[in-house]
Amino acid sequence: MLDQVVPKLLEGEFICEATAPSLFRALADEALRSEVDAFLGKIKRRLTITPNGQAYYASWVKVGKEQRAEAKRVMVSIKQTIRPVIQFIELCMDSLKTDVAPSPGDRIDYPAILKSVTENPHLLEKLREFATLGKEFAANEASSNAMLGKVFQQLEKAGYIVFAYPEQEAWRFTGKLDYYYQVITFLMENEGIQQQDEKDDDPETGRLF
Amino acid sequence: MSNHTAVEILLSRLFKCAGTVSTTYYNTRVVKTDENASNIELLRQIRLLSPDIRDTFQLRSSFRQFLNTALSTERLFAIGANVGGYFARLEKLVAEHSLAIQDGRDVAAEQYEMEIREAISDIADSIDDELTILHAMVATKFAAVSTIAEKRRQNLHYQDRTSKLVNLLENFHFADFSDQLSGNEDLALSFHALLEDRIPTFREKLKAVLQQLQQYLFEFRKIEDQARLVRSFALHLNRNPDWTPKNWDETATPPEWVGLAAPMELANHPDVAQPDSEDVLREIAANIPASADMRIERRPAGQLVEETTETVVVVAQSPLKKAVRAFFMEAAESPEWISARRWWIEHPSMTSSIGEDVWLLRLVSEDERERRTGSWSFRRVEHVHSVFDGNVLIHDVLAARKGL
Repeated sequence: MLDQVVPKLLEGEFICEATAPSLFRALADEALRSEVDAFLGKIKRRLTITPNGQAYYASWVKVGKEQRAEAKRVMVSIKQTIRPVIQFIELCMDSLKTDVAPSPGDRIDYPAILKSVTENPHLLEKLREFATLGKEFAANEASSNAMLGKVFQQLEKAGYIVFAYPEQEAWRFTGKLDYYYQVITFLMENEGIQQQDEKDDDPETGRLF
Repeated sequence: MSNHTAVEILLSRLFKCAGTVSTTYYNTRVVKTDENASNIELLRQIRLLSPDIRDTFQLRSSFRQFLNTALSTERLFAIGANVGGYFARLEKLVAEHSLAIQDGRDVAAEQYEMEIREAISDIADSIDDELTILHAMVATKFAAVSTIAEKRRQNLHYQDRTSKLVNLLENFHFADFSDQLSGNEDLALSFHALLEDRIPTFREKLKAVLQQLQQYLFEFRKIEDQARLVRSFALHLNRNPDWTPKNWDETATPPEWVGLAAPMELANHPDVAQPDSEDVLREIAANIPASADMRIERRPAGQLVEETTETVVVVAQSPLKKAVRAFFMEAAESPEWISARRWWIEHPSMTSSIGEDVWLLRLVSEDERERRTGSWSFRRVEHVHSVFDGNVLIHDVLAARKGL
């Protein structure tokens, strides 16, 4: 199992239930985790688990001088993806009319979201806004399908979703979402961003404002 | 007299009305029309359909519940099995059975035995069904409802129901039943096999579900916090379109998430010198298709194809060009001026096909083009035209070696 886990971690993958279920389950074994950690330790890396235990990834044992450039790269990547990912999460929640923030492993039905986006001008406008976030989100066509397809493609490339059910055109959120929540929780706490007050139980009421 | 039992007759009637039953089940009610009127009457006769409002009918609750259980239908609040009621019934039946035996009412005792067996089975089945429903609810995290508040309410409902069932299974006096039924071997066996032996497993499974439901309650609180976090952060980004995070990588102690290790590009190459790999490598090599770019043209079998020699195209030099080159070559070495018109006359073999005017014009043109690089001197014998102002009449041209 070590021979399958270590290469994935070194290639920068997040091992979770959605991307590599058998490896993720195998890592529940403490002995394997220790073995992987010891292996990574030889090259100044360690096995890290996201705060809610949804994914494993490799991180530096210590961010020292040598790793500063790499840390900078991570920061740049966060800056580039922070808006598109939150916009995508909101789009999913609004399309499915739910007040439940998606969790790793949650299914995303492409046809259901496309239907909502096509029928709701507000959601269509939100979808169009993706194009302003970078040229990689701009679709060649102005159709909802092309625009939404492009967004899904980019999110998959960034490792936040995986095409899990091709027959039903359905995707799944990966464990990297847990990492993303960790980042925004940190930023909310440390950059003085105010948390919204508790909302009413009824999501419809919330949306009216 | 028919050989069919009442059950078979009932099922055959149900089969006739399958369409109406299905429509009623999925639409929760059915409107009476000319087409389905006879089916509706039949279903009412066998007490599977009951009237609803405005000429509509619905399935009787017991039949609907049976279909829900059989089809594992996801219900918002599934009807819980009345296990307590079943136990109470069993208790009464066992007591009446004892009395019937004491009074020597054998027929009644036999009747009670049958009912006791059914009651034991009812309890085992209802706990089993309850577990199925609970497992489905837990596995989907109450997927039938979308909001957190609804999920939380459902969670509490099932938590309450499960804990009651666990209490019932823990506190019920099974030993009393066991003693009372010990006189009848068949009943005692049914009781042990269907119920008593399975109770610990049921209890453990229900406890596990209960634990999971409690865990979910905690998770729902976390999900709710997560949703609030997402909405707050999204709102912040909308209100501050130019906002970007600070460079947390530059702080003295960067947060853990910044330490995400750089991805490495890994490539593995087989050791071809390793004898163990030989078989696999040979198989791989055999499966590699020939390159599409390689084209081997073969002579068709049975035919001799004559080899063709390469065609050499010789371009004949024009006589005028030949003569011009010869003239300038001679002039380049001549210490005296050579008249072009004289040369034209003296070399008829080269100039016979060239007109004298064309010859002169060609020489003038050649001189203009090659004057800089040419190794000759050139002079034109000319005079201005008296009528056509700006034109000159060339009588002859002279050429000699350079510098003359």
